[in-house]
Amino acid sequence: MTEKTIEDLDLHAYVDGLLDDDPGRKAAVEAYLRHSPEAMHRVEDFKTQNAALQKAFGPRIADPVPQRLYDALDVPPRQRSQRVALRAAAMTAALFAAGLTGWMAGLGVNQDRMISKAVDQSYQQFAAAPSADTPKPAPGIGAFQAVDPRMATGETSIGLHAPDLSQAGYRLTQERQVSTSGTDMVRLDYDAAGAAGMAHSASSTREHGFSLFLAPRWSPDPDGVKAAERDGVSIVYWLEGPYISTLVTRMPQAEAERTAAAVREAMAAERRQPVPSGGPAFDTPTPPPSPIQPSTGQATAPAAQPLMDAVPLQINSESVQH
Amino acid sequence: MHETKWLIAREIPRLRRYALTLADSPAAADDLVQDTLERALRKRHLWQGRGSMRSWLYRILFNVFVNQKPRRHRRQNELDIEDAPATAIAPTQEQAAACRDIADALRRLPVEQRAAIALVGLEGLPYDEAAAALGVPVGTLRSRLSRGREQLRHLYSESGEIPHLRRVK
Repeated sequence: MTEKTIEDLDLHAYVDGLLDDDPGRKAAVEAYLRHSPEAMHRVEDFKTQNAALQKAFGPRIADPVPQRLYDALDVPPRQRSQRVALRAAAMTAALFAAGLTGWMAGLGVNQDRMISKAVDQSYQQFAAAPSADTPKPAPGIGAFQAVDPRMATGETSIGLHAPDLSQAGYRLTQERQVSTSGTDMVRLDYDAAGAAGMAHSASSTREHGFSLFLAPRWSPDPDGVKAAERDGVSIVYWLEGPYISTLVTRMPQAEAERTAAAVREAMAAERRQPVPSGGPAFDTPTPPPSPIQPSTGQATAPAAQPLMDAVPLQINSESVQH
Repeated sequence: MHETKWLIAREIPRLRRYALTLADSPAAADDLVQDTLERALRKRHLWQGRGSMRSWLYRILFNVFVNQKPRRHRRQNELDIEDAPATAIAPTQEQAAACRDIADALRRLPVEQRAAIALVGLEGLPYDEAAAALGVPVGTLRSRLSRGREQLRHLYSESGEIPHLRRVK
């Protein structure tokens, strides 16, 4: 063996200790290194990298393992299949709900943290600015486009639809995008006037109206309805489709939960509606054809009006990655 | 069945550590491991006791990670590993800022190079097993290892000093 036969792979193998069982070749590499300062420098750098990796990640092997990982091995195959089916069903429903573009479930999301932030900020937004008193002229079903900024090329978007709650006695009065400290949401204010024949006044709006906050989420698993109360404000939140939905109101808790049930039913009805045309698109930066005409604000479908025209919904990367 | 599950469970700590080098956060790493475990259990008949359980699981984990990763991210940062000239993946001046944190520097590498370095330098797999875990020939593993380590020389400085910029090719 001569020094000329020493290859790059030998240097890496030397660094990785893979020549320890081959003293002859190891000696040849060491001889080569003695005559090649540049190669020696590289080898030393590689060794430093390995040592740093071991220092940074090595001890992590002793971290306690979350029980859910062991549980993953104990779930009977049938239950896993059902879970996969549910996940697929949720994904399909959400894709239909997306309508304009689509929604893709992502990875790396701490959903509990996202929910907590969404609920907190929904409450803060509501407390800072209660529901609008002035009805929005001719409110109705609408849609806007939310773009996940992680998709820097704009390939993937989330479509959101404001639920039509006229049958439940609520009408949309205002919609807006709200953004505070890392979580961007869409806020939809409803008042209690309309189909149910409730008296409409500013005070009744405050007492019987509510605000619905929709934040995107990146996990398709549905979750149950949960309720909370803070300083006389009732909060009901749930996870369905691609949204974390939070209903905030000054109604009593029981009434808030009934209203939330009506909202969920309306949103489910929205999801069941067929995709207008084209289906979900993942690879186009522009929205596919839809009943909404963003440029004119006029709807081609009778009940549809745009809420916002492709409003980019900026999602803080921290909120979806930790 | 019970024996296979037992063998898989013994590898969970290592899978978590490997996943940490790939995913963006510990929570994402655990999600990745969970998906890997579920897939391994569904596909356990494919292992059949041949080869190393660890390497087989590493391979599943990497495939799950790559398949679930958003397409745009791969397009932006992680393509052309084998074919692109070295200068095409050499770090930019901005990227070449010194990283005291090896984990941070590692994350700046294309995922294929990151995985190769993690499997060899951290998990201590022989080259043939690491190549099998990535589903590539040993020569490809060597290429990824070599390119990745060269990039790390630019990106990582243990002392925190800005590394000397070298021409890659």
